[in-house]
Amino acid sequence: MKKRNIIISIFTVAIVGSVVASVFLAKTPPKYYTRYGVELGTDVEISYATEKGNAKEIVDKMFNTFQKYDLIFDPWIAGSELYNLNHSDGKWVKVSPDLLYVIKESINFARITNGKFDPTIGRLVPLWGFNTDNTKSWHLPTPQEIQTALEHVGYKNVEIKEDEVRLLNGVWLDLNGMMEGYIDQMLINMARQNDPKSSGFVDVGGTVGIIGPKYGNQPWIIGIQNPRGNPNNSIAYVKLYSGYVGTSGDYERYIIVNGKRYYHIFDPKTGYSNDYFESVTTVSTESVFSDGFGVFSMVAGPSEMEKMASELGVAYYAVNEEGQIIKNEEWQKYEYKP
Amino acid sequence: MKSGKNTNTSHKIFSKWDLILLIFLILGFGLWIGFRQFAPSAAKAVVLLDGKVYEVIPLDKNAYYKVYRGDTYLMTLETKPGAIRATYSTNWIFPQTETNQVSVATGWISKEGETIISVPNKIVVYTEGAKERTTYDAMTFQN
Repeated sequence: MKKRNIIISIFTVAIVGSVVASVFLAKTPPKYYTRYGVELGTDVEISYATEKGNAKEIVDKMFNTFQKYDLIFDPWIAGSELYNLNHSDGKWVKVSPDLLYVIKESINFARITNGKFDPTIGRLVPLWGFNTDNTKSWHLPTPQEIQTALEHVGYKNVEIKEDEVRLLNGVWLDLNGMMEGYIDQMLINMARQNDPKSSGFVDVGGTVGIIGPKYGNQPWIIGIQNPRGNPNNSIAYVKLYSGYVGTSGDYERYIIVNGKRYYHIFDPKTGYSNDYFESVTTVSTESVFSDGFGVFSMVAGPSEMEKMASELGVAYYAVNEEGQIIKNEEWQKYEYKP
Repeated sequence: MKSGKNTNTSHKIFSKWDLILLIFLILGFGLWIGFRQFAPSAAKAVVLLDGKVYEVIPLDKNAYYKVYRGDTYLMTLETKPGAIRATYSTNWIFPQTETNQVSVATGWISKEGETIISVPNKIVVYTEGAKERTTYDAMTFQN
């Protein structure tokens, strides 16, 4: 009897022990640390999991870099690097590697698109008041004001020599068309430098870049905001294991005058926004195209959008002004239907 | 010659009751672990101002909350059980004007993953412990 009790006790302890061990030692899914914020004049979300170091510390480090990027890329902060370049009166200016990279990519894309995407529309932005959050200052400029500003637009006025840039003819650069994708890429680099197998995503102003698949092998599901819905209302979804998704649209910075909508993406030839699309969402392996392609498409319209997408190998999902969905074949790879 | 030794009970290690007790022990332990791991917490809203937690609001009643930066009034939040929304938002940079009220237009949020964001005021509101989660992990919107 005594022997029997000992065996029962050992058996019970072994089973309970193995249950405990399986609960605590089994490979559990990584726990994501998520931080929200408002940076660079837009909202930011980073979700991150790693087995190397503390995820919160890495995410906090990422957030700490935004101040640096603000002082590089914000053309409306007096003293920022881009502000100083825009006010350099045609002199050669040595620029930081971050600024140089985005200027080079922007000018390269301007060449490819024959100026439909043009980062030198800087002087048009304050003319409409879209450089500020003060909605009361958003207004329709006079045709004469637009004509005058257009005399200072044109990507061929940007000269690059090694790490120096010269802006001719009084052009001002506005790099919003590629900046968010680039910053996504820099933050992802930080995450991967910490742990190449780490997982998560970064979302800077609606441009989402993937650090690594969810739980190591599952896609992240990214909603596409309904251009005529509220900010949590998605019209479709993409699934991403890697790469970037970004959206351009007419629904946040706009005014309606005499029933016509004018928004913040200008045709560099006319100085006004075009009315082809409510939004264009792009999936790309290149961070800069996830933003830049949408801006180009809002200006260029559907036929040029399709042609350029084939050349660049990007996937797009567009909503035209009639609310119809236009998407290319490449999009099927990423489409997610819950 | 057979020994005639009775082997019916002497080698039976577990009785029926021992087995039942063992099963209950294991099930009870499993339930306890499961409850600790997966029990939902009560829904609450986290309000961030300038990137720091300003207030954690339990979503268990009808109430109004105001958000200030120092003495400057920024936003009114309304709660009902399980949900929160912004009912008014000013613009601290340009206090004489209203913003375009994206935060107000967002309406009620009740699912994990939904947010209310006021960029001019640098306010983010998100839910924690909600019963439902959004279909998406993140949202792409115009830049």
